[in-house]
Amino acid sequence: MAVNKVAVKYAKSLLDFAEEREALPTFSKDVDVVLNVFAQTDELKRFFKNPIIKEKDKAAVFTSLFKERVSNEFFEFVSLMIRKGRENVLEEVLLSFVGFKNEALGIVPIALTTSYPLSSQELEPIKTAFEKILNKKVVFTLSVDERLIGGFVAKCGDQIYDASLQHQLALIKNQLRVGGPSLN
Amino acid sequence: MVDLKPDEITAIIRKQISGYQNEVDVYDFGTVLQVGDGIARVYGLSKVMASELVEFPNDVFGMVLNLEEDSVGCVLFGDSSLVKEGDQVKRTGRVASMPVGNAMLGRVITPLGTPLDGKGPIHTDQFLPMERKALGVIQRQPVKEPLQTGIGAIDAMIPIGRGQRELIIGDRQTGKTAVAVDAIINQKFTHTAEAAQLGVNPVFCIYVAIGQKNSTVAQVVAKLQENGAMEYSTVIAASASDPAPLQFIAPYAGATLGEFFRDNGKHALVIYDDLSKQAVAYRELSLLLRRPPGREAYPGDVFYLHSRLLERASKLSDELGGGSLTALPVIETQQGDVSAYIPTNVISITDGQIYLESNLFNAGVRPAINVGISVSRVGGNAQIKAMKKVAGSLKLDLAQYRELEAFAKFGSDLDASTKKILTRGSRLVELLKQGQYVPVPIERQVVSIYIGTNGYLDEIPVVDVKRFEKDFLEFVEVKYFEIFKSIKETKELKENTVTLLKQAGAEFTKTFKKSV
Repeated sequence: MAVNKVAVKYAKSLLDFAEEREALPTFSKDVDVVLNVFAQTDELKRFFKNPIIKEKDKAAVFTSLFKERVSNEFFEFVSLMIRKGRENVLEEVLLSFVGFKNEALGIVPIALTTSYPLSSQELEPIKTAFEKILNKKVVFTLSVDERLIGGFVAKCGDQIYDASLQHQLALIKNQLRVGGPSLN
Repeated sequence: MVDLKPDEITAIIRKQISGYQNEVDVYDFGTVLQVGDGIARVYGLSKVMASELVEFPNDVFGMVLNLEEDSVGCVLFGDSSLVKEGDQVKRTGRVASMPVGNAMLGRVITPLGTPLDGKGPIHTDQFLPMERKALGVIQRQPVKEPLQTGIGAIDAMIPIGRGQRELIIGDRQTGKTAVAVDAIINQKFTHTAEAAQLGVNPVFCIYVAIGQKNSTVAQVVAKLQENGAMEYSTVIAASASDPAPLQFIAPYAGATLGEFFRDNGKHALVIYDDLSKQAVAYRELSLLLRRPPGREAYPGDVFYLHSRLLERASKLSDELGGGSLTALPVIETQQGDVSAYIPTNVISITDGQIYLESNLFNAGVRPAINVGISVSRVGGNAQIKAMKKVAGSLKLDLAQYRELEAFAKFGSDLDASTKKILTRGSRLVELLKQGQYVPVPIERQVVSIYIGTNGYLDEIPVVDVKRFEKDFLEFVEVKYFEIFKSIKETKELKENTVTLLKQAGAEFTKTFKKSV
């Protein structure tokens, strides 16, 4: 969970490089491609993390998988990481890159959990409200949890905006149990 | 059961939830990375303050102690098995604090202020932080009022003043707690109308039990209740089975409650029983938080741990209401070793110490106070004049006695003056013996010591000394009541009182029958 220091260094230099070349959109697309694959297959992650597998084999696998799908500069970047023996933190690097990129662009990722899948009309007012509060652009990651009963829970960095029915009920329960005017 | 109409039930429920507001709850959170041994490492909580309370699931609270680069070290005040990796931690936004108020009197509570005595919730409207900075020089004034413990040896020779810090130190089973409990019981007088007339302000007592057996705490509470002392006292208990963090903060909670009384112009007495166990608890959690160990594996700031606590004892200036907070820390030594780390630390912080010794205790001198090495550095200013007058010769007589005590076994081979000193000394030692839970009012102490130091006991066999004292006090109570009255009201030993005392002494000695 805690961010690896090495990963931060690589991610920052990748971001700087992308900004220098004004190739941020291309790079972020490339990062997304790799991250998508990582998200789908656990095996590839383990492959890169495995110290027994030789550098040469890792480079070969990466070439055959991504050579055609990502930009040349990005490919070189990952190859450099493999040469330097840092491919084990590849995923962390890419994730921190996304984080830094969002920060630079003023985008706040919010994990929004609701009790049922929201339609885009339902999502829009929530989005505008958050953009107004945070004064930044908001990107939602949606998930569904029926235990919330109703309302939503939004996780934004270290903060939680809890507007779920489940939480409200817990609050009422607590108030009935300890606080409030006594029954006598 | 009386009929309840559905309408009424609805009304009650409505009343109950009327204060409820439907709002989006915004809070900061973190995630538990690692938990165990009462310590949790938390990721997130980026804006958390040092020593802030945080809430874990299952109503477990914790306190932030370490702020590190990418994680936060918390100590848990509850069962660590209720917290698991990945749990969400909520900030409460307030530094560790406890509810304070007069409603706390008569209650047994945890260091966090929750009741332990099953007498229902405590309604207070004020929270004070547990760690507060001690007052500065300007806000204070010298100790000037006495805090009587009701124990003759202490009130005469090691007097304690309101606002003082006096250490009670001794091995296990030497009666340290007994001294402290007697001091609490003796404050009962200060809550009476008579005391108010005499200008004695009430003293509120707080007994902090740290790392003791629950049964011991229960005994103390029962004793206090039995003697009607619970009405003006609070017991804060962090027993041996409570997690180390609770034992660590318990004295601070006691100080906070005491400060509430002090800052409202009242007087408070806090007993920390005992600080060696608190130091051990602090060592435990410091080591678990990976702070480097020092001497005896205590962390480097173990001195500061006690000094910042005891500095909070104070006598406020008159502009601030003149309240006071007296601290009686207790330290348990191992085999009488006062040069161990924690005892030397606390001795150097406090304004004096009361030494209790196990060989005295076993020899039947109870309270087992070694008056030779016990001192009180500031209490003398607070002693009432009458006591000061009689205590002077008492100290001298006892000091001479101790010097010659070793010769006592030579018996008849001694010269007359040595014999006299030995006779006097043995009578005085006997006179200073006192039962547990029977504190003696100051005027009686003065009279007892007067008869001791003026030779009325020299002719009495040692075994009869206590009986002589008891009967004499009764005799004075009945026939010369003015003596007590005068000492109590003027707080001095006037010429005419001394004359009366001499008269009473002579009269009583004639009638007293020695046991065969």
